[in-house]
Formats: sequence, C-alpha cells, structure tokens
Amino acid sequence: MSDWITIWSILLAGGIGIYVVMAIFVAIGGAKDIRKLFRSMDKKKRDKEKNLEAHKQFRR
Amino acid sequence: MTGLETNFSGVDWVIVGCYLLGTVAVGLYVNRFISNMADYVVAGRAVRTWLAVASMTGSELGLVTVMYAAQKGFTGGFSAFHIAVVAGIVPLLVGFTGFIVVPLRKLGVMTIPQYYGLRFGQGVRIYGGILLAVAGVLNMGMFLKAGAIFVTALTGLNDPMQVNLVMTALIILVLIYTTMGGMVSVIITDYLQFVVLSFGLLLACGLAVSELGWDNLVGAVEQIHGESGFNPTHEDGFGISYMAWMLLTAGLVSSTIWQTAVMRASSAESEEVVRNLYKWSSVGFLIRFLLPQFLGICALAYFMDIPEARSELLTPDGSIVDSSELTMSAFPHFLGQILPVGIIGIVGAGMLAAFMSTHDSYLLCWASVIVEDVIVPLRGGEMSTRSRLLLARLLIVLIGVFLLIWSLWYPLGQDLLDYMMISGAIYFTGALALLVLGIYWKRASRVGAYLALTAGGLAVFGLTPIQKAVGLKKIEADHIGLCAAGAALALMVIGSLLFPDKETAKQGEADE
Repeated sequence: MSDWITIWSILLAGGIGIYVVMAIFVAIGGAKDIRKLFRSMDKKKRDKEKNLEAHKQFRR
Repeated sequence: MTGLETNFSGVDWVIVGCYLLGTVAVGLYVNRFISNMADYVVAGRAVRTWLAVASMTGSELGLVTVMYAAQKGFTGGFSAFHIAVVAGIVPLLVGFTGFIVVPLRKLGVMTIPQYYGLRFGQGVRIYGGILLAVAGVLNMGMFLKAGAIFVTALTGLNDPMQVNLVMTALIILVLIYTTMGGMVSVIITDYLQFVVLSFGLLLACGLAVSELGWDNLVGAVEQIHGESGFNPTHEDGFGISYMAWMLLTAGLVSSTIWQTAVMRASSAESEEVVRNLYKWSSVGFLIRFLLPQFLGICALAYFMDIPEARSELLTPDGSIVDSSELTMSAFPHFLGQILPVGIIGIVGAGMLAAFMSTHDSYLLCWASVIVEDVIVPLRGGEMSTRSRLLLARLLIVLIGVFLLIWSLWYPLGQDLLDYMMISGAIYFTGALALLVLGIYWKRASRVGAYLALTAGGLAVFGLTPIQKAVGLKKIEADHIGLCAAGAALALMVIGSLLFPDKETAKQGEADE
C-alpha cells in the first residue's frame, strides 16, 4: 500500500506543478489569441462586406 | 447534509452576479462577428493554440466534471486517481500520433456524422446524427441536477424553489449568449472560466491540505476504504474491468470521439495546432480529474471528524452510503466550509461559469448536429445559412427546456460519472468502430457501419433505472459498456466482410 501512496503523492505534486506553469502560459497566451481572433474575424467580415458592395456595383 | 453552516455571504452573491452578467455581455458583444455557419459553429476556424487549449480545458473542466470527479474521489479514495492518469496520457499520445483527430481536421468536417456521410454515405450520417444527438442530450440530462446540488450545498440555499429559480436563471443566461455568439462566445467564456477555475481550485487544494494535513487524508482513506482506497486493481474497489472502461471512456473517447472535443479540433487553425492542442490539453485532461478527486478525498477526511456529517455519509458498518445525491453534495459542502468569504464567491462564480460553459458547448454541439447532420441532409442539402442559424438557435432553446424537465424526474441511482459514461456510450461505442475502422481500414463498409451504430445502443442497459425496469439483476455499467464496444467493433468487421461496399468489392475483383 505504501508504494501506491508514494505513486499518488508524486502524481499529485507533479500534476499540480505542471498545471500551475501551464495555467500561467495559457492565461497570458490565450488573452493575446483572443485579440488576434477578434481582429481576424473583423477583417474577414469587412472583406466580405466590401466584396458584396463591389458585386452590387458591378451588377448595376 | 444537515446542520452545516456555509461561509457563502452577500459579498459572494455580488461577485457571482457580476461575473455571470459579464459572460452574457461577452456573448452579446461577439455576435457582431458572426456572418455564417462556420463562424457560428467553429469560430471561423481561426482559433490559435493557447486559446484552443484554454477553451478545450475550460469546456472539459465543467462543474459537472468537477462534481462527478470529486464524487469518485469521495467514494473511491486515491484509487480514483487512475482515471486522471488515463485521461492525461491518452490525449498526449493523440497529440504525438494525430490518431483520429488529424485525419478529421484534414477532411475539414465540423461534426462526426459529417465524416460518416463522406465515408459511408448520407444514410449513415443521418442515423449516426440522430443517435449522437439522443445520446448527447441524455448525457447532459443530469447536468442541472448536479448544478442544483452544488448551488444548494455551497450557498446554503435550502428552499427548493430558490434553487430552481437559480438554475432556471442560469440556463436562461446560457441560452442568451450561446444563441447570440455561437462558438466565438463559447470560446471566450471558456477562457475566462479556465483562468478563474484553475486558480480557484488550486487555491482550494492548498487550503484543504493546510487545514487537514496529508497524513490525515491518507489515514481517513485507509480507515474507510482500506487497501482498495489506494490500489485501483483491488477487486473490492474499482478492479481491472473498470480501469479498462475508464481507459476507453475517460481516455480515448473523451479526447478523440466525443463531439465537443472534435469540435475544438475542427476549430483549430491548422493540423499543427490540433497536435499542439492535444499535447498541451493532456495536462488539463489530467487535472480535470485529479484536482476534484483530491478535493473529494479531502471532503471525506474533513467530514469523518464531524459526527453529524459522519452519521449521514457512512452506514453503521463504516462504509459509504449508497446515495448518489449525498456523496455528490459532500464536495460543495466542503468548499462552503473551508473557503473564506470573497474567495468562495470567486470559486463559486468560476464553478457556475463552468456549469454555463459546459452547457453552452454541449447545447451548441447537439443543436449543430441535429441541423447539419439530420435536418439538412433530409432536405437534400438545401437550406439557407439564415434558416440554419435560426433552426440551431431554436433547437438550443428546445433542448434547454427538455433538460429542465429530465433533471427533475429521472432517478439517478448510480454515481454521476457512471451515468455520464454509459449514456454517452449509446453513441460512442458505435462511433469508435466507425471512426477507427473507417479511417484506418479501407474495407469498412456501410452495412458494417449501420450494425456498429445499432450495437452501441446496447449500452442503454447500463443505466440503473433501465436495468430495474426490464428486471435485470445489477450488472456493472463498465461490463455493459465494454460489451457494447466489443459488439460494435465485431459487427463492424463482420458486416464489412459479408457486405462490402460496391466500390470496394469492384476494387477487390480488379485486384484479383
């Protein structure tokens, strides 16, 4: 049983340690990615609207 | 549990209220970016690695996951950690090999039944879509009950009417921002929830260890569970078959076959992002079980020293009571006892946001499947983007209403994790056979696919109320689930060999 206790305590300490590091990286990197996502979707939407407008003018 | 005061105060209610209203504001704000179905369902396929990891982890680290994982820690002791191990290792392997998810991303599919359509034809897509939506909605069926137990235990609200009002308000908030913002709002709220809940749970673990001490935790598990509380292979505890079932479900299925995970892979910008997403998310998959299970163990140790709680949670012979509702409520009661004012509001807000986040992902997911894989193919593929979006939003509301009704009358009768796995198995046992053999075995055929999907339905007999209704004596959910998975794989192979698709048969004749 003591072997299992050792295994689980190492897993718990190691898992929490890695997660703390990952959570910090993801929190910072994720905030940057949100900004990029908004910019990219905004640009896509504007391009689409421009194309629609150009298409309408061409048909006229 | 009776006679327990909670630290939850008016300040905490204000924190929770501000946080939840903030998430709705995000949904309303991002609605301006939505211009087509791909924007709505997979965020325009423009999500990068860090945000994808936060979203995947945030979505999977929901209130329901935390509740059922904590319950397993409470009822199984340290042995329950084997679930966390398989849940972490399998996605890591998927990240390195690209198993299933990379071929799906290459094909550009948004849903798994869409893959069925490409590989086996539209009939299989529609049949698979119906099964997936039914299993998926049933799988969500206990979410509200788990949420209600959490709110009651954490906040000290005892009036059932107040709890129902809180739950109804939460589901209405979810419906508002999911119908408005689709996957973009889901991803942003997942991110917020990831940050709040990650640090909140870590803080709770720190406080729990400092309050109880490691030796007391080990002692309590030894006293209640004995050897089986540490050794997962022990037959008095989980046993080998349960571990195999967890390897399949918590490991392989939840990371590669379950539709919500596949949608995250589909939302990724590139195949490289998919691989990185799985490698990084493996830590999240590990932690989403490990931390709550540990807190469940802490709750066990804490309540063993309180005579009133002990008499409710343990039978006279010293084993844990056979009441899913009681064992599930131990974890939120414990949080209500150890967390200080203010912190409890932040953790509570994070948990409720997690509750909403899981709902939004799942609602969006099942509504998309019903529209894209059942209704649109039945109409011959003709439906405007506007109608699809409108229909998806209408279905989200209808599923929400169904969940309110189902959670009120269905008698759980087993651990929440086991209910979740077995209701999901109705779909994923068949899906496993179709995806693995469909991608990696050329001879997999349409008839085999139909047989495999149908065999998956056998899993329904793993639900305790169904077993009682048909007069079956108690059979463990893991045994039924493994049998259903085996039957689906076997029937897929047999059906494909006996009834090959015409093109495959012609190719075979030409080769000869």
